[in-house]
Amino acid sequence: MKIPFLSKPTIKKVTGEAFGTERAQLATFVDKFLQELPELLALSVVEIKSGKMLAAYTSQASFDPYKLTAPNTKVVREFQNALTTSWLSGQQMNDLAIVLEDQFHIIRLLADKRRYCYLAIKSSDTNMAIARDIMRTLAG
Amino acid sequence: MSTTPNQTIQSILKELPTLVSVAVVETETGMPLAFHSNLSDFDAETAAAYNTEVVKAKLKAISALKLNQKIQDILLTLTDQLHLLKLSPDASKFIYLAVNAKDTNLAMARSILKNHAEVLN
Repeated sequence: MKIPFLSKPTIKKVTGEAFGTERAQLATFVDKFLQELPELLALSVVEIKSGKMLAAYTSQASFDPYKLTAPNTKVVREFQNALTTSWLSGQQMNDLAIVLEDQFHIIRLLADKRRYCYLAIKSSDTNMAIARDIMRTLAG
Repeated sequence: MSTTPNQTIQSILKELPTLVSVAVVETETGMPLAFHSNLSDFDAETAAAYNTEVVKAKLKAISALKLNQKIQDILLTLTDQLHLLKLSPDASKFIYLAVNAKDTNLAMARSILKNHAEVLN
């Protein structure tokens, strides 16, 4: 159920780097996700090096992706550090899924490896295999 | 019934003899309590330390949003390996498991870890 004054349906885009073509690209990217997974809780695109939020969308005011940028970026960096150890050489990170009680969060690097995309969705609305497949298709 | 970290490692090894590496790690200190690897250059201390940071960052994220939810597990897919982190019921320890994607699928690895994390003490 959508209650207009409780949800924030507008796509919030962040200033900083996401100007011009990148901003337009990310807006299309978010739109495509919403077409595939209209019930998603939150979606964001973050630059790994700077930790800068490039695009963010949330369906609930209480689920603020901005609060997650720092810990999520840390998760990605830690995994990338871990991949530099000798016994993991040659491995690339594909995606990272965190399973909670009734929702899951998926982090996937975009094709340029410079940014990552973060998705939060309720387990009752989709299943992990579908959500990961959509991420794979859209994030490349 | 509860089991020690060493018993957990042994029984996971019995179910997944081809695993890459497995470790039981203390969340607070990030140190491995027990581990096994089929790789000669596997460094359990480093792997445990990195993975602990991941778990802590994720716990922080969940408390930042006041989601009031427990982490069931964390799954990482690499080029040809799967890495799983599964927390014990009180989140004081976690099991870290790395497998080859061609030997095991995500669902199998998850269900094996689930049984072991529940009795981990």
